[in-house]
Amino acid sequence: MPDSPNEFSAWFNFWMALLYAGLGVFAVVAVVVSVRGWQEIKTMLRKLKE
Amino acid sequence: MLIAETTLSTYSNFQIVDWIIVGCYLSISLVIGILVTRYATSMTAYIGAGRSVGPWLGVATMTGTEMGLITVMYMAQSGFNGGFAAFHMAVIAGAGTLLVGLTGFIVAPLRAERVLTIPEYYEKRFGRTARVVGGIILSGAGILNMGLFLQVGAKFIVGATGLSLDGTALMVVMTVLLILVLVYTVLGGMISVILTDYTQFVVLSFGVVATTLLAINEVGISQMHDAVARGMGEAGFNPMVEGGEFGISYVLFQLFAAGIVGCAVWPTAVSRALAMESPKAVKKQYTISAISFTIRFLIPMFWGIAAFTFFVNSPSDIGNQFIGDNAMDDAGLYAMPVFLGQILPTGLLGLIVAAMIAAFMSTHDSYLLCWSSVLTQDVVAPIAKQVSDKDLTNANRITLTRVFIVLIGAFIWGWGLFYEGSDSIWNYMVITGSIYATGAIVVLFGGLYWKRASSTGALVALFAGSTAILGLEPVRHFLIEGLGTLAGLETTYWKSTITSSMVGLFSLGLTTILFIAVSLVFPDQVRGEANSEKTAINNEGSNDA
Repeated sequence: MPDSPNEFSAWFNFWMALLYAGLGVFAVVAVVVSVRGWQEIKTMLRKLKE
Repeated sequence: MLIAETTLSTYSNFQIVDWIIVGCYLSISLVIGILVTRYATSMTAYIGAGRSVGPWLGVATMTGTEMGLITVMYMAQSGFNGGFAAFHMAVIAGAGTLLVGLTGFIVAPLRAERVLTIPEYYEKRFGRTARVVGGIILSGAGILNMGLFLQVGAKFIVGATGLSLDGTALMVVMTVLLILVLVYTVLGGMISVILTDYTQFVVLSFGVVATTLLAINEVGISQMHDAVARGMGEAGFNPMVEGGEFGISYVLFQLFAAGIVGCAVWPTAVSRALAMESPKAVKKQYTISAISFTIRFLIPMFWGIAAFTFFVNSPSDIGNQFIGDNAMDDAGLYAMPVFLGQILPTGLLGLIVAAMIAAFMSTHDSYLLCWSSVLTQDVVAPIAKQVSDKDLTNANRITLTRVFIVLIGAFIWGWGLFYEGSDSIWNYMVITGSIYATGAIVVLFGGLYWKRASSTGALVALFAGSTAILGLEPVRHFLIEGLGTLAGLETTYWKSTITSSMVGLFSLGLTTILFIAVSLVFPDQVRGEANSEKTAINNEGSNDA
């Protein structure tokens, strides 16, 4: 067991940067996909009806 | 060990209003499933949504399926047991999906073939026998792979809602969930699957962002760092460190399992690609999905680490149930839902649990539909054609698919109750999935990109890929015990040295070598020899497109 937890800070900062970046991009993508996906649902159902 | 259940349920914020939210959410999903039944008039519409799905809806539905409750649970377990080092799987999964999206590797040419299932492609390229053999291996491995879904999903609900952790509540929740998902899938097929996948995507996307921010606020980033550093050392941060949860062979095997198989070969993901309107839309779908394929691993892992930190810093009567030598069975699985049940406020907890149940349903319906349609289209229909020289009608195929859905549902209910393995859920899934995927990736790659790939080589590769089952812990240990005793070796040493990842890499290498060698030694006599029989089958599933 390490005495000083700070010795892993490089790895930790890398993983946390990845997490925050992923979360931010995902939030934007989620909004776009939600809006555009809804439009495509309407198109799909219209096609299937035909 | 005995669990202080009252302590845990007392702390859960799950209240009546949460149950009402869950009830409303599921009722709406069921109504949608019933309403779209009228659109499922042909096999293509039933299992492929009429091949009319656009790229954005494709992203939502693929994410909805692949970001299921089972994924959330096993990735949380990986984070809980392996710390931040588990994040390497998210990086590999995202990079692999992006690569597939940019190049169209396997999925774009497969969509261009206009097939509905992967074994259908086997037949086009390698003949009917390859289709039937591939279909049997695929559905067998796939059904085994989803064998623990029901049990793990039920554990989430039991943990988050504060229900009793004994077996009775688990069995009741499993039964109710199974009935819900069977009714819903049998009725609407792929169309209802896509619609509820979309709803789930919307709710879950915003739910996971909110939950993550709340978890950070509740636990604290620096506390997470300290807890992992003290509890796991360097292995909690660096995935290449041997002796921890992962290691070099593990990471290498993940390049195959999480990087390529998870998005380019795994049938439930590929079935989304085959339902897309064009190969170009497939590439766009995969490129955008790289984000969600990363997030679907990253966020649950983070929740697992947050749960680990939370219980490390909890009073000992609670913390000891999850951390240390006296922790309960499946502590790594129960930790995350119990943690969410204690930090999320009433209302939001109900919404998250409802979205998770929807995630559970969307994964189940997709998997049930996928394996049952493979059994119908790729095993029963070709055999029936061979025996009676008649095609199964569309109506017969849909009925048969529905019967298989119910039978598979019954199997996973029993398997979830009685299977007792000690592999982590992720390892169990990777190994059972590899039984199919090892042969499939070699055969698909060879069939699509190598002209000299032969039908004999394909058959041998499909069988050779099944050797991946040797990686499953009970099988692996049984073999080492038997062979080690015969050879006079120290079996305890070899049991801890030979990992499932090593067996998986060996199986992949063996399959590739055999496929190439047998294809060169036993080439098809005439190009398309195998295809001569394919035309004999009038595949209604394809022809009604």
